[in-house]
Amino acid sequence: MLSCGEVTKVYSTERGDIEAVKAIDLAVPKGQFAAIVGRSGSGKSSLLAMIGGLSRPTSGTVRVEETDIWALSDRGLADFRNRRIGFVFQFASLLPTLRVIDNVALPALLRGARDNRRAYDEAAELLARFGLSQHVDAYPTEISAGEQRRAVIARALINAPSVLLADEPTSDLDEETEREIMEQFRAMNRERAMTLIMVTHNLRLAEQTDRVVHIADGRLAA
Amino acid sequence: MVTGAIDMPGSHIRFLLGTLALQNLGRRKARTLLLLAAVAVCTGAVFTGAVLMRSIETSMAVGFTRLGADMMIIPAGTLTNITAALLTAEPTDLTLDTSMLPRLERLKGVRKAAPQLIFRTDASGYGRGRELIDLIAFDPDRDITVQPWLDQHLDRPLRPGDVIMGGRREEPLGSEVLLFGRPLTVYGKLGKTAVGTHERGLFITFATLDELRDTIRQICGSKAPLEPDKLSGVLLELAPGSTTQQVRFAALANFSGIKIVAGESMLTSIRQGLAALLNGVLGLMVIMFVSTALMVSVLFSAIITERRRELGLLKAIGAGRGQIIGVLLIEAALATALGGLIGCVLGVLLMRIYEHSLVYYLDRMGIPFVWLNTTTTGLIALACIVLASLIGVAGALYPAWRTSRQEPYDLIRSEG
Repeated sequence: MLSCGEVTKVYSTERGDIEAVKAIDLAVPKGQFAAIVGRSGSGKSSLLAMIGGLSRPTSGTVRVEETDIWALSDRGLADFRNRRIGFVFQFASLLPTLRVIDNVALPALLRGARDNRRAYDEAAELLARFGLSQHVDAYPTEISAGEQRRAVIARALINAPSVLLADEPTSDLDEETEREIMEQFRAMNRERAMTLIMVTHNLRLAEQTDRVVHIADGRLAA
Repeated sequence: MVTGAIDMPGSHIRFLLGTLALQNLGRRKARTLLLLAAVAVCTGAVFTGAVLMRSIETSMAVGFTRLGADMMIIPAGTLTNITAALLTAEPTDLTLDTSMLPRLERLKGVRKAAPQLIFRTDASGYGRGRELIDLIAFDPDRDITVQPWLDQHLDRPLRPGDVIMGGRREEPLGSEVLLFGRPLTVYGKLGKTAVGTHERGLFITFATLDELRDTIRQICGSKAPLEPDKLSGVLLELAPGSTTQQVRFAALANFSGIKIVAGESMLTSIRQGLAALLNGVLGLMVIMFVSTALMVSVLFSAIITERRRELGLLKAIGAGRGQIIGVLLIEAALATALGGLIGCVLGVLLMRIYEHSLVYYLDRMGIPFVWLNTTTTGLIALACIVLASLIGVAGALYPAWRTSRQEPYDLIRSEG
């Protein structure tokens, strides 16, 4: 179970405080594939960042299973993000100066628990699963946007997280690639009982998930 | 698989983060070149300055000491005919006591006190018949006017049983000279000084004199200078900032039975002025390094601003604060060390130009310029590169630390 208890996020700007997320309560059962939909600026990405341990809520709690993630220490939270959460961002989030396989193996290497050979073997397996075997030694700029996105998903899975968070994962991709990625999400959700939360403004994509959560003006909409 | 990856947990991530740092330098070539150029200029200036400063110090030690002592203390009543540089005491039967030496060295304004004992005789057996010689005993550890004039010497340290010949003597190095029936090895030969006593003198250490003393007294009788613990004079080098007047008054207030001869005051002023100038150069170097650290800090603030998304991403996938700081500091250290290396190479080229211009003219004018040896120059270059690298790390530390404290989402959503 993943739950948010009255999470609020206020951004302080020169023009005053902006309340992006307003006391949202949300519970996502383990293994559910949920979509958070809303217009740009509705607060959906801010909510996802708080759930993923990327942005501290101004108030409220986020629990992943039994862990109150914002009660963790800096080191503990970094470790939690590394082991338990997989991220797929809306931008091209591969490090351009590392090879594709280095990018995919990076979270495992940061974890430091496995030897290098095992981390790279697992990265190679994931890349093969996503049809990127021929690109293991390529640099991100040498592969297409769709292939980059698949590599990012492979990276998100390398530490076998219990939660996968995706922020507009298909925003700049063609329909064919978008369909492939959604199929992969559904397969992961089904095969690994992984909790998936996807932020999107695309209702057609959201309808392919188990549950759609609407957010407007920082609040859950009916 | 990664070729050559070291198969230990944690080892490859350090390699990858190092690679990340190195490759980031290549991504922004103009910015990296600017950073390298700035560090190279600073390090090159400091390296060149340090080598030249040390070379000038060495040259001063040789060249300026060759101009003689600043002052000389001799027994009261000694007749002096000092028209040239103060290089040796004057031959006299009057003596000073060696017990005054430690007190003299402690006198305010005195940097070095070099004792000498001079004994004029025609009974040494040196040369043809009864040739008159000045046998001058000196202390090699305190000496300021004999060894700086060594133009040639054997390839070993000076030791008891050796004699150094004045500039007008002809004996070859390593040959034996019989003095009072005792063979002494010609260790070295001095340059010509135009100071008669110095040019014709035979210089031995006090230890050699002690070995010869009984023989000399048997041949020459118990003349006063040959008594143990006696000196003919003490040559003084003044500390920077002190004047001959100050030391003269201090010496006269503390010792009786002495006479003080001052050297050319202009030379003393030049020597002291140069010492002050070198200290100023040192201060300038410190300022240059501090300004480089500030510049690196500003540049790295800009570099980090450009890479906020990438750093945020690293944090999002589990990089700790230490790893974020580490990757930025490695980048700073690599860039500044490389800049330092380039600076040292440029410094060497600059010194080659200097060698072919100013040093060449100085040599032609008879002013010696003594370059540091290769090992010391190499060590200074290494120290400059390490220092440049440390300055880079110091400069990047604050921006890196500040970035490591930021939340991943704040870093990710800001545009690079």
